[in-house]
Amino acid sequence: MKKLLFVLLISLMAIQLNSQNKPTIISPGTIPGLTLIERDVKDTAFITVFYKFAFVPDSTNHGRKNEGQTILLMGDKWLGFMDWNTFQIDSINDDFAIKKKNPWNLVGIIGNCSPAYWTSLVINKQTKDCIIQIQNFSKYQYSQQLPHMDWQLLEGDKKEVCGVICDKAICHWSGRDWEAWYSTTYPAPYGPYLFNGLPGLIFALKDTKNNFFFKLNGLDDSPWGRPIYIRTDDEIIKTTREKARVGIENEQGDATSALSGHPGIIDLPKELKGKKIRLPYNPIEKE
Amino acid sequence: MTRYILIIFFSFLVTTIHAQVATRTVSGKITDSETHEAVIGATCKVVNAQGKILTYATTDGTGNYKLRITDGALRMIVSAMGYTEQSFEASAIKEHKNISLRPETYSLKEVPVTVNPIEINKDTIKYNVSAFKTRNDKYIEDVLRKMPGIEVNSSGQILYKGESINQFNIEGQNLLGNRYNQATRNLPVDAVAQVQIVENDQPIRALKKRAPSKKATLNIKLKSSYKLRPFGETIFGGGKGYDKHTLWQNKLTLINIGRKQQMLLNASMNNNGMSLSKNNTAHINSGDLENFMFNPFNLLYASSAVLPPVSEPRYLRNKDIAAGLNHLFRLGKYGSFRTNITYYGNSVRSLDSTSNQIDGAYSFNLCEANRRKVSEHTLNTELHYELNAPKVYLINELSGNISRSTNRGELQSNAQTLIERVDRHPHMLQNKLSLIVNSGVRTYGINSITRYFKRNEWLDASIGHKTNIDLARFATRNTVNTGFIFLGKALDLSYTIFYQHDKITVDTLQITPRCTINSQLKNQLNLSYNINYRRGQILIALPTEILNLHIDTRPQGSQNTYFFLSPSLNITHRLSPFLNFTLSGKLSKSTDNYVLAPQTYYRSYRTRFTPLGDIGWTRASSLASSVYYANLINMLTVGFTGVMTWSKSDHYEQFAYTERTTEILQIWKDNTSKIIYLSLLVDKSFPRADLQIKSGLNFNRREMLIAQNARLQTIKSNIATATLFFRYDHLKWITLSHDLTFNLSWQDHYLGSRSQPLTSFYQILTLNSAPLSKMNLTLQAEQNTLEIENNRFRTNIFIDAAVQYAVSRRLELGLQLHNLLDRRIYEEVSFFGMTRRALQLPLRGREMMLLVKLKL
Repeated sequence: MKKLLFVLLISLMAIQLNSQNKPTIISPGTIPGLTLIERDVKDTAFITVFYKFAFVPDSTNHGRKNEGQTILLMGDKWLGFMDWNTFQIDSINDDFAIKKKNPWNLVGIIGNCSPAYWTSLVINKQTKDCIIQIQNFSKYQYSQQLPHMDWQLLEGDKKEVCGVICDKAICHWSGRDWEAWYSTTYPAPYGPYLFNGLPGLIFALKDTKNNFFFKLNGLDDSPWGRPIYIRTDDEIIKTTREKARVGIENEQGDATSALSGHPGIIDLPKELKGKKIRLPYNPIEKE
Repeated sequence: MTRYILIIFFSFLVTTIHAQVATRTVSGKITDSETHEAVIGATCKVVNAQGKILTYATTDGTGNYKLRITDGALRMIVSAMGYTEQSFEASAIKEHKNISLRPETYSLKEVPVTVNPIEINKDTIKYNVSAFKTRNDKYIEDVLRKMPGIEVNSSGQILYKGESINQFNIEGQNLLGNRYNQATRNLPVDAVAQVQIVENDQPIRALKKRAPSKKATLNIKLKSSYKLRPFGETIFGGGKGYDKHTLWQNKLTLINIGRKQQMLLNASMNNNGMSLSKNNTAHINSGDLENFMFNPFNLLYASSAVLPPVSEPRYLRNKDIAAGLNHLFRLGKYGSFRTNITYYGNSVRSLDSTSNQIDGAYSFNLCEANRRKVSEHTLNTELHYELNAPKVYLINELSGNISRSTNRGELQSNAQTLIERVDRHPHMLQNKLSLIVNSGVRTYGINSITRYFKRNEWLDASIGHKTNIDLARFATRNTVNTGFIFLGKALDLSYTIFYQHDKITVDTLQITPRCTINSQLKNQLNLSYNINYRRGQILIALPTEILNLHIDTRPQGSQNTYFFLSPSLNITHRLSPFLNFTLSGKLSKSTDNYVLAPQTYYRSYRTRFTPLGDIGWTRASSLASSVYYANLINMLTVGFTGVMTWSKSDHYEQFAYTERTTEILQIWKDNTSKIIYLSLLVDKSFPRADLQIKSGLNFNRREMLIAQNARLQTIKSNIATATLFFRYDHLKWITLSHDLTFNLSWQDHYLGSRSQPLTSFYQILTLNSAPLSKMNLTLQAEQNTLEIENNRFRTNIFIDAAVQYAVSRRLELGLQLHNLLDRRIYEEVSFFGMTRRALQLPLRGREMMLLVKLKL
């Protein structure tokens, strides 16, 4: 819920819709034009890897899973990893803004493709600096070095993923045990999120407790390139990794306080005083 | 022989070579053969004869690699995306080896992209009810209150993000219209699988993608076992209460949700102080007021209507009945026809006594002891047709209600004893029509509401004061709106025409009845301009009205046409990710919203009211500002709000108290009033300790003119409030909360003032526990201490307890104990204007009730 709230809020502000309470009957072409998304473009990716993504928001309830689509953008100097629908919405918005197209069409697109993965990151391949943005109730940004992962290559196990024969590797990282399938046919030591260090591209990845799943479902070599970027909105809280994790855990642990921290959006009633809303907290990095 | 020697020699050589590939480290740099730049992320792997990877490494940011070559290594293979792979004999590799890779010209072997196509996916947030439900929750309203973003106010109205919801649907159908309390307070939470919120939902198909809505639609999804078959529950309860009074509480709910039809039947009755008046409430959508009309205020009042700051179950001696029958039938793909019939009846007995010290140029004491019986019966009917197709949206709703209320009191008023009776019979017939046509290029819409309202009010006081007032009102409002672009921003335009016709007859049975006919025609053009910028937005609105009045009592030649503007400005600005600021201001002018009576009449047994004879005006201006800081890393939020309102009215009411009557005379004279409101709230949580602390400071100051007992005085009254709230729930099976409030009220001194500062203190301590899996315990202690005289306090302590035990899935037993300490009297003193009022109210006393709940 909270994610949709922010995507829609940001998107609607970007297209500057009329904010009247009552439904106004407006005909197409009478809405103010779109403006470009505020972003810092790091590089251009000519290789895009698509990963289907699923995760279990509540580790005590595996019956419920959220699914989505993510992309790994590979440039010469930078890598980018983000939600595919977010990338599309941003791209279409800028395209419409440049071409001064009717913003009503964007409203329909936003309604039809909601993001599911709320982390965006860019990695400097040379320095191994990573900039990570996580959208929870608030939007946090922090920097860190690309982590070293101690992979153990397992012989004998082979699996076909997307028509490519892959080898298996395991490692323990950030509080979870991970299982990856990689292909040396694609000699890029990268994968979804911050995963790196295998002698081939990761084609499938999951933790052994079945909370997080990534599976490659496309790889294209796009001659026109895709931008690798990070957003630069004013709302972003630039902090440290530790403080961002504490902030997100606090928001999930007490959603009523998190929501009351956004003026103009929520005015919590007295009846909630005796209630504490805990949302599940199951981060990909447990440590 | 020689051949054998050569074989042996070469085998030895190979063995020697292999023996020489012992574990060693090689390093070097990998570069692009054309640009000579470092190749970052290239893979160097060492494989054996079977192709198994023995060790590997990747190049760092400078293109350097470091790799161990172990025993058994045959080859070292270097590869990178976009480059031709190279392979080297492991034994031939020296300690330091730089490698130059040639860029590849072939296309990368693509993997067909099987990304799911963009799915039609509404902004639907799905709440699984089981995640929010606790044992104490019985009905869906209990769980809705906990869901983030959802607020349920005291009347049962559901708000999402501060806005009232568009619709309340059950399985996608709007069965109840805006009387959805019947569902939220009667639909068992066990029947509900999910609560879906569709954000920014435009329920009108013809307006989808044309007119976004900030509001949400709430949809209840039932568990599959509850669909296509009737279900419900029934509750029987009995007990003993005040003065050995027998208590009862009964309820029946039946629900049937099918594909083409839906039905909800509910019936409740009780006499345990729980008012059922809000069960059938029709909620008003504050963002859609053009589709609502309000009833005119009552003209007659029974005296001593008391509303103490104690919850109703503590003092209300009632018999309440509420029932509702709701049926929806789908017509084709886009149509539906709905029937809603609701009934509410009650009978309330009340006992109270008040002592009013009314000051002015002279003082007067009015003491009243009141034994009253109030009864009310209201029947509502709605017939609603809806067609919600992609190109056409049409609704027509015909509704009506009939009501009858009687308020009979036996009063002791100073020295006299009397009986006062006020009867009221209102009824109403209304039609609402809304039509929107989407032609593809443009959208056209009409909204029309037409109402006929009739009310008879009758006062009969045994001391000879009688009044009969008959009011008939016809009103119609019609609106169209559209939008344009002006200087690159959106400009909204709406035009409304409103007509109202009143016919009022006042008969005091002492002089000839007088009748007056008044009407008004209002044309309003509303412009609003919205500027969004990076850190916020500015909203400017300029409603312009032309009002034409026809007042019977006005002399000929008087001005009847008025033109005025009511501009407003609203700014929201984000100073940082943690800090937000808002500022708003408004100027307005409006007529008073009361019915013009043609002559003097008795409003209650002692109050005689002389109306102005013409409509009054008020000009108001307001300024509000707020600053809000929220840091969820250290879980601290601080909010400050300040509001100031100035208003200037062209008339006021003058009160004169005598032994037998209270005279109210409306006087034409300009007067001003001012209100200041300040609030500071601080909230700090300690998540690791599961402890939350909220605190607040509020200040409210009001200046207004009081004309009373031949004295004209501007009274300045003040209230300061401090609140503190703790919650602790570190243990899963127990939750503790403590709520404290301190009030100080006082008036600025004026000549002859006898008011004094008064303090009050409230606290509520609540303990919830689930010691066994099938059992819930609740214990609550409430204390209020009120200053009724200088340094003299009155304290009330209430202790309530409740136990629920689930015998089986279908059967539940409950025991409720209220007011265990058997408090019997509530006392309070307050100041209003130049009047000091002391109130004494009997309470219900200790009560016990046993409940049996059976799920159908």
